[in-house]
Amino acid sequence: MLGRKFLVYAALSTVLAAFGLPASAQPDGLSGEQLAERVYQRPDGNDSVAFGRMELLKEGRSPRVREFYSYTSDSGPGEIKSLIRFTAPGDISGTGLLSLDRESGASDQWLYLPDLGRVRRVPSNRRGGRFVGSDLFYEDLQDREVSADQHHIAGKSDYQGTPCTLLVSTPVEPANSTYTKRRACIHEPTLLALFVEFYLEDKIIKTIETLQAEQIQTFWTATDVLITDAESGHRTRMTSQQVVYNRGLPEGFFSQKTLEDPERERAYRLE
Amino acid sequence: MHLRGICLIFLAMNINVMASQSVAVAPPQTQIQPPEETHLLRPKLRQGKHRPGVITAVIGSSSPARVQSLEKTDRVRLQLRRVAVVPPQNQAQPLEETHLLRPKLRQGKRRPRVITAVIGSSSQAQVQSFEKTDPLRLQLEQRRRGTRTDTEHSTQPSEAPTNIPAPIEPQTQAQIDSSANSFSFTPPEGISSALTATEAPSSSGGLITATIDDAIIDGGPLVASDAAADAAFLGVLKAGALVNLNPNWQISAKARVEGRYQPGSDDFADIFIEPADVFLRFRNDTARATLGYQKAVWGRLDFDAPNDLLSVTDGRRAREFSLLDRRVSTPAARLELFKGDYKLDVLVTPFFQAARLPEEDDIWSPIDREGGRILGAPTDAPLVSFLAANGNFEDDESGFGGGGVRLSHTGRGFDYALTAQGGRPSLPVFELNSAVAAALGTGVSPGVALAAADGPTFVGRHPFTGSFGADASTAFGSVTLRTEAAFLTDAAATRQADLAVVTGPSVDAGLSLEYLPDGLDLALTTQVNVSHRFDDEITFEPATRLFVNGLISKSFARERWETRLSYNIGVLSEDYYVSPELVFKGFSGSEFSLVYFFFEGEPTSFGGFFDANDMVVLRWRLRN
Repeated sequence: MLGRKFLVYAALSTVLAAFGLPASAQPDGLSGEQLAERVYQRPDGNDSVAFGRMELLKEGRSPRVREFYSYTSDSGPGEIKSLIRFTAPGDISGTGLLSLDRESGASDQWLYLPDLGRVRRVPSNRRGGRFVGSDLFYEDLQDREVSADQHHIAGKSDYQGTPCTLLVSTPVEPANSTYTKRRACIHEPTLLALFVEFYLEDKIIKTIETLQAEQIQTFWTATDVLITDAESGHRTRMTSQQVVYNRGLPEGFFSQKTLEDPERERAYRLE
Repeated sequence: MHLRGICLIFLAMNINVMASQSVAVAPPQTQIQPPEETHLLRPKLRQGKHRPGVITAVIGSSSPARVQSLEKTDRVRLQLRRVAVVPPQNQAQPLEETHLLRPKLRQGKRRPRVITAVIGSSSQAQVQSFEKTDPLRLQLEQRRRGTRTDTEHSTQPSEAPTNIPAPIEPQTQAQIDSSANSFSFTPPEGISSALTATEAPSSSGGLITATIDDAIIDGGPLVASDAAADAAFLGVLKAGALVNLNPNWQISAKARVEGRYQPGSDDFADIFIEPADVFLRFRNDTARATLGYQKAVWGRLDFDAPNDLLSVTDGRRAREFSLLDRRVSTPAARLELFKGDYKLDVLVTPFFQAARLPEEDDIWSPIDREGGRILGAPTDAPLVSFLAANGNFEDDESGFGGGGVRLSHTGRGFDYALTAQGGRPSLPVFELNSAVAAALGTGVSPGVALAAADGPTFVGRHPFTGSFGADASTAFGSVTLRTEAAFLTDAAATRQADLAVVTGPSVDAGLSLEYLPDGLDLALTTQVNVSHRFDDEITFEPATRLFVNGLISKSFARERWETRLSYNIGVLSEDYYVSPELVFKGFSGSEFSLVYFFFEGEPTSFGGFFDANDMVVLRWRLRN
């Protein structure tokens, strides 16, 4: 749970959201698996384009900023494609990451490094390790099928007064996750995760909070997300400056030719 | 009626009130006890350049309503939300309505920090402004504290009735409804409540974009006692302009300036400017064509790629930079065709360009006149030493460069490419002037032979060779495997007997493993290169060469700091290059690094040839 639909989009600052269910359809009586499946399967358009900003925040130090475009496409069950292109700062500007998740659960990733002028295949199942120095692990960027975890509803809670349902997810195979447990507070009307705690053993090592969400083209979108490293207090704030759904990205967009030529993206960027 | 009138007023003020919700008044234990109903009118929140952060609330009901304005929009909005608290079940309804009018919020540089609330009911509403010091705001703040109140069941599924959620704690229920178009929460201390607005790069792009792609300033002392210079300094600037004529056509006009200074017993200074990316490019959905000065590096390996025949080496800095830094732009025509997961790459270099090598007085020159040495040639051969010290050198840079095709495929779990090309390697193989060689054959002294010859003593040759290769990569676990091999029809070498260039078939191959251990912010890249020439000639260059090289990097403090270790080690001969580096990346776009370069090895090896050039360098690099 909280795989692709939450974490990828949180990481990419695009969406951390789902289509709000009408009040009458609020899933009282859902099992943990059913709620997890709803979050995972929530509508998010055929594709999306977002311009995101990532601020790395450490008390007493000036923020470091990364800016990027992200493009995603949902081609079908388990078939998710994404492309991230960094635009700032200069030392990573132009760097691109193309990810293709297959229905079979396999995935491929390629990195384009302007310094090398080449497209390089990189391991797609890397879990630990921080993404561009942020508080996100590579695992947080990857699709995580609902079936990869056991889920149960642990009760009700609230986040700053907003009621939400506590959904606890533990890996079926402990070795396939950095975390031993995730504890998320799901806002059921929107299926947003308002707050997520990531555990290692019984200790919280990281939290993710939704600071702001908007409904854009009928799709709930987290536009401001804060990730906090529980041990160091280091924070990563991810904001979506612009998000557009159903941009009409062509089939061939998520390919090597786009990855190695940023100019091909330009027509699909946002005004 | 009154409320509706106020709503209309706000609508007229272009405040987009999207919904309203009636809620109950705070229970007695709260510090705010509005005696009337509270209505939260939920506006549509949108993100944009300008975001008037005004929230209007009507608090109260049929009796006097008040409109209040608060600063710090987001925070106060949340506080106002909490004014509207659902009472415990069976609690009496409030006496008055309170409406919180929530306007359309927009993001921008100017964000009025005011919340206006109508407190009261439809009959006698009052307008109030909440400011930082308002008691009500303080009370709201006090109410806000301790807002996360979990009522978690046991974390064990077996202990929790998974299908029956626990009842919601009434005192903490907030007012976010699914019909609203946005909501936000109070950020933690130290986090600004306002989003930092950033303009996304324009989708259309400017017609002309001026850029500084790269800037380097570095320098430091040579530490060996027999060093040829006291210190070495380097400055590089690559800048220019990119002109996007339209989505299909693009012009790049960039140049590169490099200067170097090596103080010592004989000061050396050099500065030059050369074209970097100077080309005209066309692209459409299926093709990209580029004509002009460009870098086209084929192959898959990072340090020495056997299928990289047509690019031109930049050997002017023996100190390590990235692969692309070790290539120069050359005139070429390139056509890339894309179809599905396949790419066909056609490259022609009509004008041969030899590798850029340092001037003879440069400490990194492959020719050491003072020592009578040529990189790769034995130092115990008096004839070679005499000729190197007294002769002169010239590169054969005329003629056709070469061309080739490369078909690559990026697929599920496995990438591969096939390459066929013909060209002239840019690195020279030195050949003795035939007249000098003929004179030496008659038994005259080297000095006489040298005097008898016209033209250069040594000519750098670049014999044309065919090359047929393949490369592939795959990833498993945390490891990426890259490999490639090429068969060369005419690999060149210098025959010891007469210092003539001979050619023979050769195989070059390489294997690279990149390991990214989980959770360590560590990258280990190790590459093995092997080459073997299939002939019986006795040449300066060994018939078989085997090298291990790579890079180990480890970042710290969220990539503010990084340590790197670059290395190149000869397996069949003593040849060492090791370069530890400490990098500070705390300033966006800039790198400051402290590097040590260590060279060691047999006299004929790279490490041995430059073993007096060990040095410490402080470097600043800016990239855009």
